[in-house]
Amino acid sequence: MNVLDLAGPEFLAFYIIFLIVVATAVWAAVSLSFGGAGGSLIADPYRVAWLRGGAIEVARLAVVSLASRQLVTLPRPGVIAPAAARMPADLNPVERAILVNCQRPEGKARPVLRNSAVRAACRAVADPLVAMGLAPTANAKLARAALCAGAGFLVLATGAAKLDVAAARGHSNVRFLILLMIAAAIVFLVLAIPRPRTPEGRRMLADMRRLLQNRRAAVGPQSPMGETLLMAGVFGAAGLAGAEELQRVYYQALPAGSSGSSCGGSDGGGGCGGCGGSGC
Amino acid sequence: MAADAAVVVVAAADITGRRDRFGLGWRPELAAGILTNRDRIDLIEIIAEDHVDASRAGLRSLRRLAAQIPVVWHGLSLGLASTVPVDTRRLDAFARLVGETGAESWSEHLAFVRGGGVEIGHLAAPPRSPDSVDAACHNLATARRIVGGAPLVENIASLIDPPASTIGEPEWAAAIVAGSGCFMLLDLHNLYANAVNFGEDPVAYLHRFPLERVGSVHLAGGRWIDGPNGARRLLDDHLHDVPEPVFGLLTELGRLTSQPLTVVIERDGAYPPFADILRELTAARQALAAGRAMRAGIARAA
Repeated sequence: MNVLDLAGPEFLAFYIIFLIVVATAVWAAVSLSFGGAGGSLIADPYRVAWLRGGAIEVARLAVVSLASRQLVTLPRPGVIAPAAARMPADLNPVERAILVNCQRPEGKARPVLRNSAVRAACRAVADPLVAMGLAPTANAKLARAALCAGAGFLVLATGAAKLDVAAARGHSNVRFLILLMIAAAIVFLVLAIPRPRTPEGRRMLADMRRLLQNRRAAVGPQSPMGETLLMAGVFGAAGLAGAEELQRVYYQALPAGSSGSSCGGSDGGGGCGGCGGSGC
Repeated sequence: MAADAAVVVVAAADITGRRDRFGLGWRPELAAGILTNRDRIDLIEIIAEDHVDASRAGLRSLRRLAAQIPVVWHGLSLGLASTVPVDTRRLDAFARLVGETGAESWSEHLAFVRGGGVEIGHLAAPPRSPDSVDAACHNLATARRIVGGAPLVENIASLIDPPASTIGEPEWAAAIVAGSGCFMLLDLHNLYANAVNFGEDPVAYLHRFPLERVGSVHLAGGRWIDGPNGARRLLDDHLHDVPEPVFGLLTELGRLTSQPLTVVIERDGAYPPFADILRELTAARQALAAGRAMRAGIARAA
């Protein structure tokens, strides 16, 4: 039986099932194929932040750290300004890169966080995570994109072939099929977006959340900075619930309307605090 | 069966050949502080009862934690010093935790916690008698068989002198340790509280315990409460700083013993800033080091 010969309603039913089956198979493949070796906890706040939301979360955490040390201020959303003419020696590379790049007058947060040096420093945070199997390799990202492109092509090509058959037979009521094809394209585009973490990285993040869950709202203005950053790394803004000023910094580090806003993400380990993932 | 898998425990028999170590009781309130000060904490002690019903994901979290920092388990609910046989289902649960996390040891109190189907909800001191020594040794043998290693057994604090006792607490603990082959987890604040509550000199009281069989040490704090007939009693509540005399007992213990010790500070509430807890940990290191130095000085002089 040629499925292209099915009548309209029957073909639409087939197409929906076909889309679900292929998308589920792709999802399973990308969720199960990039696993790592497991191991101990990641207690470095910046690495945890990467697992949660990628480079953009690393950058936001660095801005929170700098603000807590009164090295930068955020006079208004999206604007990072230096607050002191000093460069402490114990800054980490991300913090240092941000501080250097906000020295320019009226440096808007987004350009600062998208500066090449800042981006490189953010990406470097992921290097050990890649080695540990917690963040995907470049090849894994390519494989994911290729798989999604292939699956998307298969589904869309099937729909296109049916459109061609319908047109040849003089049928014009193909709007539902076109809508389904658009939906399919969106599904595979979303699946193709590289995640900052592998499934093993997702489990690592979940384990950190589980171990620290009872302290989620316990960070306060007087908490040690190491603990504050760890909680922010694990929970994002929610981890700063007891430190309102730092929470405000976290939210305002990015200009309003930019990416990095709350998103749970189907990749797990979600919650608020951003899902940038593809670089700052 | 969980017990079959629990072959990882080495327990007290393996305590020799290591250096003194200093750790903290794992509490959710201290978790972030512990993880961010990992380099200053040698191990953590986790309350087993908090995790006996852990899901697979919960166990995975604990395995990861154990891969990050050495873990020992501490039990509250087995009632090993009871004349009632220990519940083997509870031991199965302990075996699962110990096996899953590869813990190096586990510990439990010399106490009874239930009787006649009634849960006391408290660590109670049994009558210190030959009968309770035999019962404890029997329970410890069962525990060793099921969990895969013998627990370290901990002395408890008691506000009363257990009725029907015929043996002093140190001698009673020594008899159990000798009869079971277990090592001791010596809680110095419990020891201190029992000594001052019943008119004993704490240092002399310490000397009566089987110190050569001590593998681990607990440090904690407490507060004075009103007792009967206007007497004052020191309550071991784990809500206060470790008092100076307890550090003194640790120094004395270090002077009297040669085996490596694992020292754990317990805190169950009224948490101070984590920096203060780290300072207590440092004080414990210094106290034990002072005792070790005294011992080394005596040895050199000899």
